[in-house]
Amino acid sequence: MFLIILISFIASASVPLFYRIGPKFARIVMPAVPMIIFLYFSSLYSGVISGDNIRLSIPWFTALDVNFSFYIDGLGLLFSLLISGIGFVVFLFATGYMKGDSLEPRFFIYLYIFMGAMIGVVTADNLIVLFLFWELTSISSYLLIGYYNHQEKSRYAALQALLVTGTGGISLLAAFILIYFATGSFEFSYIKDFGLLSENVYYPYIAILIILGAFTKSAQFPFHFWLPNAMAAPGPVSAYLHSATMVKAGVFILAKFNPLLGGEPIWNTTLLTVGLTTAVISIFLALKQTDIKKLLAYSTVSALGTMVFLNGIGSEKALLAMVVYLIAHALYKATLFLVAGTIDHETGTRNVNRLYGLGRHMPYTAAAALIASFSQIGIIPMLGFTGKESLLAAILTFEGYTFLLTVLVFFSSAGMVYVAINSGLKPFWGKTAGNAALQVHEAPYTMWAGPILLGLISIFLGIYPPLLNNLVQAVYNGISKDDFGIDIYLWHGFNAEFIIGTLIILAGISLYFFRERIYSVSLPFGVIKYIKPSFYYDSGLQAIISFSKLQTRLLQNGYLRYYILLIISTVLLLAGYPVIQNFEIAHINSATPVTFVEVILALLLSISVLATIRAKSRLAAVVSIGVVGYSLSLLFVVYGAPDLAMTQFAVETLTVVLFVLIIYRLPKFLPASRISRRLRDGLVAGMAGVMMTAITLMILFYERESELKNYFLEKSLSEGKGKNVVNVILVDFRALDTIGEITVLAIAAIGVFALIGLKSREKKI
Amino acid sequence: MNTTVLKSAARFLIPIFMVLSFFLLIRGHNEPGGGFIGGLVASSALALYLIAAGLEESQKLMRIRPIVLITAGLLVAFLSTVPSIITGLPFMTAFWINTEIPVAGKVGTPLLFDLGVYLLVIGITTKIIFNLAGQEK
Amino acid sequence: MEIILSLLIGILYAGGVYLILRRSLVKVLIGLLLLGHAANLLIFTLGRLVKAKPAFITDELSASAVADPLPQALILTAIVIGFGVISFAVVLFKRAYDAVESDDIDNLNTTDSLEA
Repeated sequence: MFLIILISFIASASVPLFYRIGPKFARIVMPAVPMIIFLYFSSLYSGVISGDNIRLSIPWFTALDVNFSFYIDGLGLLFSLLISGIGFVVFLFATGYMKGDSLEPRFFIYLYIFMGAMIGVVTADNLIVLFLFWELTSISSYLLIGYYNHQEKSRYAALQALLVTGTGGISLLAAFILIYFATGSFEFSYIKDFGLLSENVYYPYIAILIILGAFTKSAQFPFHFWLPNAMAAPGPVSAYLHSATMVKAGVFILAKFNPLLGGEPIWNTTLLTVGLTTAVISIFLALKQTDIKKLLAYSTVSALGTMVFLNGIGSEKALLAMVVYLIAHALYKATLFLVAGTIDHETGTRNVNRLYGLGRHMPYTAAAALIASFSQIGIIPMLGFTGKESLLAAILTFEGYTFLLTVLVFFSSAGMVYVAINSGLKPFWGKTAGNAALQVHEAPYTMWAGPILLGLISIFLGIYPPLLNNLVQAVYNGISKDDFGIDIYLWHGFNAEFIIGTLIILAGISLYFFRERIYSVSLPFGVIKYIKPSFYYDSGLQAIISFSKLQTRLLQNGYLRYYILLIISTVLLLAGYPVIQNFEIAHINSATPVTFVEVILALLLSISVLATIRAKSRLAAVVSIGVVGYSLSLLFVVYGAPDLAMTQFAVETLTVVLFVLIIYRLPKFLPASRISRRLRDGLVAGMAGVMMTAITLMILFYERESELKNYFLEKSLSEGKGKNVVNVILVDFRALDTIGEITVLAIAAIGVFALIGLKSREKKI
Repeated sequence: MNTTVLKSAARFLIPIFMVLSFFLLIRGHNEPGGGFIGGLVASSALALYLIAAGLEESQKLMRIRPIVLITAGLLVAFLSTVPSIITGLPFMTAFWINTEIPVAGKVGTPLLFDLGVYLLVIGITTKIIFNLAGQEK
Repeated sequence: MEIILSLLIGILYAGGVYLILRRSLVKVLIGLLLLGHAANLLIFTLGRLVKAKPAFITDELSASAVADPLPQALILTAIVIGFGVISFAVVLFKRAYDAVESDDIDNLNTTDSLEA
């Protein structure tokens, strides 16, 4: 199973290899990978529906409770099947669609990464692992949306999608960490046993953060704007990421956490209102679209909103409706997007007003489109019909605002019908006379076989929905606390749902016939422009950029000494305050007596430091720094450190030689800086010195008895076989440090060598 | 600074420095000294000779190129860790030969390690100083 | 004596900080050297001072009367590393000087002019 999750990433890395063998070979092999994954998950089917959920864990950071653990229950299985099944169709389609594109292999590399990440999201048990895969889907989506990277629009849309979903990812991470605080674990299957978290103090924050993460991913209002822009991506990407799988990850997260967080107003009311708002507003926006992909994108947003508010209602029927609706939507919307991709590919336009009469030229594509739009419209016996029936059933049994809800759902569903007609039927309808795209012909079979397959599944499941019973039951058990026997069937009789459903279809058809009117109405859309969230996105981004420019100008102006000054001043402020607060002169009671030699040494040191600073020539400075070093080594002698003294002495000699070699022939120092600047620097430096003195004094007059000292003194001879404890530490007790040290020295030597080697090579040229 | 007095003095001093540095190296375990100090003393001697006699003479005196010394030093130091790796004891566990040797006392992998440090320090300092001296021309 | 040493540490730090705020690259290098000395002396002083009794194992050993070997070992390492850093910095300085014919840091803040 671990291998199955890895296989996409392995395939991603092997794409160049496939193409090296031959593009034809690659195009045959690549769709096989999702097929393998699909078959693997199908083999788990019988186990999962009988309640044997599969869990696998590989320790990673056990101390932090972060493990590579995966868990497959009904929900995970459903999504895995959708991802790999639709993935197969999309890969197949893409081999035709992307054929001959200059960056064809790159496209498949990204697509594989995305598929692997998505499988990871829906199967991960550990929340941190889930988060990692979640971010990976955002990143691969960024790469795929920006695939046509020569287009400004693509780059803009890609960045927008990344920033919006990335923000959501961060909030998801924050939620997971809070969940860890609340339950002490990152493993979801363990957390789940806690039941509702509503008693916990963190509950509201967890709920809000999870909701935020899900809403950004699933393009809920007010974050919906990135999804239509993401239509800049190639056709298969829109079908796969932006309708069938990735955008449903938000719905997935909400469903997954429903048993933990559901039942509280903060959760249910938010989901209900935001979901409904999204469903209505986006269908409203869809009415005016003429770009076939944007049309579909807005209707996808609307469908996602529908799923979110069904989750918000939270009753048995609502959750059931959500699952059925989700399956139906994944099937027909992927098809419609693929068909849109085909149309774009074959005719070069996506404007629905210029597309008609294609049916005669591309019969198979037209057939697939027909099935899919019928499913979206909700015509019996499509799965979309069952989806809409159960949606209406959930609404009608909901207590409170039933009428308002019904009206809003009526409107959004009618809009969906309108979109289906406009994007799935109209382009194929009518005569070809006068059509600009007269020369079109059918796409290769790879591009219509998949959509037809999805369409057939949709009919098949529509005619006999009980096939879904077991799977939906397994999903339902995972996302709800209540027991409920699932029984889906096609025909419920001439009840209220059926009547309303029929009215919806009629309303949608009339919307279609009045579309010219809708295009010309402008007033409500003008209002919407002002509440356009993408406007806030743009201005917010602009503000961040100008802020960072400002702070770069202020703090990083390119002058090294300002940086240093800034750093030291900050340290002075941060460390200086507590020092002043806690400094007490009373602690000081000098321990070692002062002798004449030491006073002389101290004086010598101070004078030479002063001389170094005041030195007018380089040589003078070097000489006085030498004196500083030698005095220091004498101090080491006085205080029982002969090894140190000798080392210091030798190093000092070498340093002076070094400086003399380099600096001997250079000109004099630059003229001194302005007096005000020197005063300022002197002030800062003086304060730094005073602070260090104060800190030293504070530390010194705490009693300290080192255990390590005694340890080393005891063990040096018995275990290190040496009497010079310092040296025994260096070559025995702490020899690893010394290895590190000599390695650093060797690297410094290589650096020197490189710098001088560079020079001599330049000379040769 | 190419004076005869300094030059002959340096030539006279070099062997003494070298012997001293080696002495510091091997007795370092029990008395003041050790690989670092030994290496630094030897390098200061070479630096002195460089100033006195110039680059070419010093390189002639060295015979071995500094980069070889650096490599050898690193190798020897890592070699001293091999016994601990082979026997599976914690990394860098010391091994000793049980017979006493005059001046050095006991001999074992720590001494080998110190020798590596010694060679490396000489290599690096001479490398840097010789290179810089070469730049001046 | 501790007080005197603490003052010395302060002086060394002040001198070092003052020098690395200069425009001349040589002075900055010397400032680095001074800061290195300051840090070494700081660690040494904080290891507590014991006069004239190096950490050698002798027959009559009393731990309290002997200097703490650990800070000494640390400083020894620090001195040698410091030397490596300074020599690298000096060579770097030399290269930079050859390239821009100046040791003024303010002439080094545009990368493009190095091309010539």
